[in-house]
Amino acid sequence: MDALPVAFEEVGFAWPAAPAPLLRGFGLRCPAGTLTALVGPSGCGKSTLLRLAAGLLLPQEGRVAPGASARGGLAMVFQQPNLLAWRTVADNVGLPLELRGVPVAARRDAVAEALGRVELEDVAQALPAALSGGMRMRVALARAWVQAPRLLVMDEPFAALDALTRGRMYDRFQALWEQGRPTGLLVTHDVDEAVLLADRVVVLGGRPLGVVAEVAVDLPRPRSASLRHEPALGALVRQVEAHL
Amino acid sequence: MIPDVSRHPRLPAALTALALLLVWALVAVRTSPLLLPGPLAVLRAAWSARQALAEATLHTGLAAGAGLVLATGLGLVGAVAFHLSRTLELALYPYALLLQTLPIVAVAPLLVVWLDYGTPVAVASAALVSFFPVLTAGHLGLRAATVEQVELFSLYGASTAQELLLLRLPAGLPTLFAGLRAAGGLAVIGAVVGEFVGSNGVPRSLGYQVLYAARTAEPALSFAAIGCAAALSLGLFVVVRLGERRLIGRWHAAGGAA
Repeated sequence: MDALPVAFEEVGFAWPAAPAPLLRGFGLRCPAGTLTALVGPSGCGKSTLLRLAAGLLLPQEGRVAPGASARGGLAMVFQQPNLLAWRTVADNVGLPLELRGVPVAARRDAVAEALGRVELEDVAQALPAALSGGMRMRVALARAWVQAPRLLVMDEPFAALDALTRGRMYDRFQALWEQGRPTGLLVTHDVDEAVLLADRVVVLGGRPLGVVAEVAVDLPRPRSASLRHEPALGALVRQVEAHL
Repeated sequence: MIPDVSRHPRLPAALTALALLLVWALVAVRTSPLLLPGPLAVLRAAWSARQALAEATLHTGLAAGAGLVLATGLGLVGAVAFHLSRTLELALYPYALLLQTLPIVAVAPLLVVWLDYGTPVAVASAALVSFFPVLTAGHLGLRAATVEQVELFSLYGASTAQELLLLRLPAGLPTLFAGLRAAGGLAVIGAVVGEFVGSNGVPRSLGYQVLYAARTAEPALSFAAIGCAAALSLGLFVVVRLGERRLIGRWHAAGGAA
């Protein structure tokens, strides 16, 4: 299925009882099949943008696409793996399909394929508690990929991992990404990570929230984690950091 | 030498029991057996009335168990209803709270008026006192899922029924079981109170035995019957704990420990 473009048009949003609106006349476009990283100060509203794009929140003004209209083609990866402790790894990965009423046999095949992609076939029947943090995050990625998403929203998915595991997860994530190429929105605090993974880094700030700067990342793919030490990447990182 | 408590964690409790028995026996020697029978007298009374006590424990156990099952069913239905309708919750929860403040001793005679003498009074009384802990624990448990888990279900377009059955109920089981453990002990108290008031001697329940022994000036038998009631509470606690371990022990730490 084709990737879904994301568009914020003249969006206004305020939390109840907040003194000032978070968004007023906010605009941002992410072409289909591209990965956009959103960086900005803590609490500036990056996660709110993700939830608006996914339709978990509704704008009070303006329009957000795809929003809730993309149900079934949408996946989200959270900062915590967010697995259900009482379900096996396989049942966690199959959850999106189960909720959509996909028959058991078809589900089993899709789950096996998704687990294969993150190399976790061996622990399919284990409970999440038996896995390491990195393995749990791989299960979360497999769950996001099990239904071939057209839009993937990620809220600091690698932030809770140790540095070594994180480096490996970047490689895995990019390998998954290359197959299917959904549109991606990635919220992160790590500018290195943003530049390494994204096609474009959007720096956000101010209140109401606005786009402070956009930095296009035209480094060739796939980008290995060791690329982080390359001067070209370092220059882009400094360019982004200058706006933070 | 002082034994290492961390290696024998049950030792302090066993020593306390021994000390209490000793104090009891010493005080009993200096007191009239009509006021305080000694531990041996209680054991003798329990042995000679073993048949009657066993039957009474069974009757009271069945009444408490039935009351607990009834309370669990009604409490869960109530918790789910409150979860699905905020209006219903606002309309009924304060009165559910009121139910907890009712002195069961005062209500039990009314139960006799409505249900006549016999086991139903004990079952209703047990259900009445154990309903509230199940309702609150169920209600709290249905809100135990994390915001992100709820978002996940909403993102994947889950129906209300799917969210309830696949997320809220399993996530709420640990909290529900904590409530059930408290409710188990209360159910035995409720059943015995119901039997005090609502038993005419058929069947011969524990509540009836305690009263009968007091009226016939057999305090040792009273003590024995009270001991049976305590053992029953402990038994229900163990049953709930076993159910908890079986259902959630694999994935929930508190459900797996001791």
